[in-house]
Amino acid sequence: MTRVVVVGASVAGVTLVQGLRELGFAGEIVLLDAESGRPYQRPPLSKEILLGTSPERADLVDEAGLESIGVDFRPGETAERIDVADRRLLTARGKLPYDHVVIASGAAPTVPAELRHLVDDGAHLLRTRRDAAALAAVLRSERSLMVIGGGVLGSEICSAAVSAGLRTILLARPTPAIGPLHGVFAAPLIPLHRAHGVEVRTEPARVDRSAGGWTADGGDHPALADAVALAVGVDATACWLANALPTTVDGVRCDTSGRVAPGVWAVGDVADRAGGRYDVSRRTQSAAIAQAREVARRIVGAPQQRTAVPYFWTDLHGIRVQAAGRIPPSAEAHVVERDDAGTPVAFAAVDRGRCVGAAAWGSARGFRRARAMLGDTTIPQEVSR
Amino acid sequence: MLQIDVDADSCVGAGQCTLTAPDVFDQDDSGIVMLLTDDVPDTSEVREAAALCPARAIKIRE
Repeated sequence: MTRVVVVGASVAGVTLVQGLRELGFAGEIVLLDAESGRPYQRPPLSKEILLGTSPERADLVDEAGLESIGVDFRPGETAERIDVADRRLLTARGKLPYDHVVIASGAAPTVPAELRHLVDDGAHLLRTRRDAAALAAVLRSERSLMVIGGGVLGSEICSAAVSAGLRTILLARPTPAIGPLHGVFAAPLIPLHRAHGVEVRTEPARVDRSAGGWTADGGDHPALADAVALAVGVDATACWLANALPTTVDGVRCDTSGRVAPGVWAVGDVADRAGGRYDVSRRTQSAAIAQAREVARRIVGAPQQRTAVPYFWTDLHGIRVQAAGRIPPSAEAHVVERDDAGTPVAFAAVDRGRCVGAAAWGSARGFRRARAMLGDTTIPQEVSR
Repeated sequence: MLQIDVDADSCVGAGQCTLTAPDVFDQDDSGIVMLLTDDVPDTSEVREAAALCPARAIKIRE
């Protein structure tokens, strides 16, 4: 009987398993996960879970669901090595032969050497459900939080902290990128944080643990906080594969259909697809799902469907930020929609005369208008600099 | 026919459903999912639309 082993009960891993069964795959499926609990998805961890609302929203599938799918789910069993030639994994429990193995183990927070001392002193990282619970406890019990990193995760933590009533300090670059948004497309970010009471500091600062909490130097006066959260990016190195396959901080190199080597596939944040860097699809929930569906079809030999348009979203201070398509570094931002005050809230990303991406800040209508322009070569003339 | 549950509270307005199966799904002015019919055909487009939802707000009851 054909055996598919999936490494990582992430949204990518679980979507792949569900996709295989939906396509009629009748072989054996083993789902390994390094953590001990039920499969969960990450987007709610930095949203509802931090605020203690709708904790069930992170659940991907319950026991009954796993049983009805027909999957040998092995929480706590870690993959340790791969033997590509003999199609075998070595796990914490022993040898596990496979016909196909799908790597869906995701990415982990990166901690640069110059910030290592913060983690050693108790700064919070956010990757797992357990991390989210620990940070949620901070939001319930402390009065102030310092967040290092103004990307998606850092920004969502700020939003949750403000909502929980904490005085919130954000240390970020002067023009941070957020997900696939950069430059003009990301320009509303810092004003949005400030409008909701976040103290944003963009000058370089050194952060240290002090007697009463944490201190950041720089600016007119040092910033003080009870706790620190560190969210400065992710590392997708899958060390356990390194004996057999090329892996970097960007993940496991695969082709544009997710194939790494014969019988080896990668999906989700760990998949380093050539040329994907400026796609909205890079490291998003939507990409993980689309890649998992695609690889499931490749494994069973089913025809591919039309590729979904990559989508990104985050919710910050009650504002939904959305993007679709691609936003290359050279893209011009054409304003598609303004709010009543005249501030741009939706943009088309135009690259070499063609609309390749859409972005919106709190404007569902603007987002749909911009997304409907994808592929157009006749673009409204208003350009935002 | 398929039994479909859409959860408007979870919906994040991605519109993947509308793009994939426009005869069955639409979005309201806030971008939130709307089911256009109670008689949902069991097609690969509808299953793909449900699976692609990044908020997993569309459930198929088997």
